Amino acid sequence: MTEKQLTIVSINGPYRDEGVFTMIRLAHAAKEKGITLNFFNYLDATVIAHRDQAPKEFPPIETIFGNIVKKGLKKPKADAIACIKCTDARGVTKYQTEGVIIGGLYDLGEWTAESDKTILIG
Amino acid sequence: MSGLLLVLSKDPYTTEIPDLVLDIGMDAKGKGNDVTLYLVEDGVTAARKTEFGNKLAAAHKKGIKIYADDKAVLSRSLENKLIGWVEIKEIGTLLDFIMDYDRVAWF
Repeated sequence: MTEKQLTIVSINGPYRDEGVFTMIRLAHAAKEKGITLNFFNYLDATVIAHRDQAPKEFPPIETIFGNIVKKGLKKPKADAIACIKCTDARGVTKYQTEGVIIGGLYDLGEWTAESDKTILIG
Repeated sequence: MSGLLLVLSKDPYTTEIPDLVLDIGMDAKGKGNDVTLYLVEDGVTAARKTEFGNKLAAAHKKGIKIYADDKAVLSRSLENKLIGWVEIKEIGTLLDFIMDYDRVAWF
């Protein structure tokens, strides 16, 4: 049986609303249900995986997000791509957390074609 | 007929997006589609017993199913303050809907 695949496109940065937390909760549910996950971090969402975040009043998003991606090394997989134009513009290309690949919209096109469903959280 | 899942994450009193979402849902329902509205984050405030909540109740009477995310409801202490037809569900239900519906739009 082929595993189901979900691509989640994020466009908002962390700490401005609950969007990233909703994405993480969906990701945990997807892992439990055996659904393969693709994260495409686009625009301000490329800051989600920026290393060394140290918020004073919130859990560090990078760590939470990074844990999901690292757990995705096993089945079901969880891959993450950050848009290179977005990371370059924000100066975060070299500071993405472990497991996040720098890519582009062609990758998103491929994921969209491969996935059972693609959603945009923003 | 196709299934349309509308996910609303915005409060109705800070933006016009919830009105737009409701219009889309009612229009799609009027054309014979199966429509579900799922409230997450600040979107759960749309189901309070207010003027907008009355709009949701009217939408429910037209056949639109309405769900609200449990954590969003609990964190805002809205358990007993929502209109009657809203079902409170955990995040796995939203994921199932996302995977099963023909179309999903997140606002």
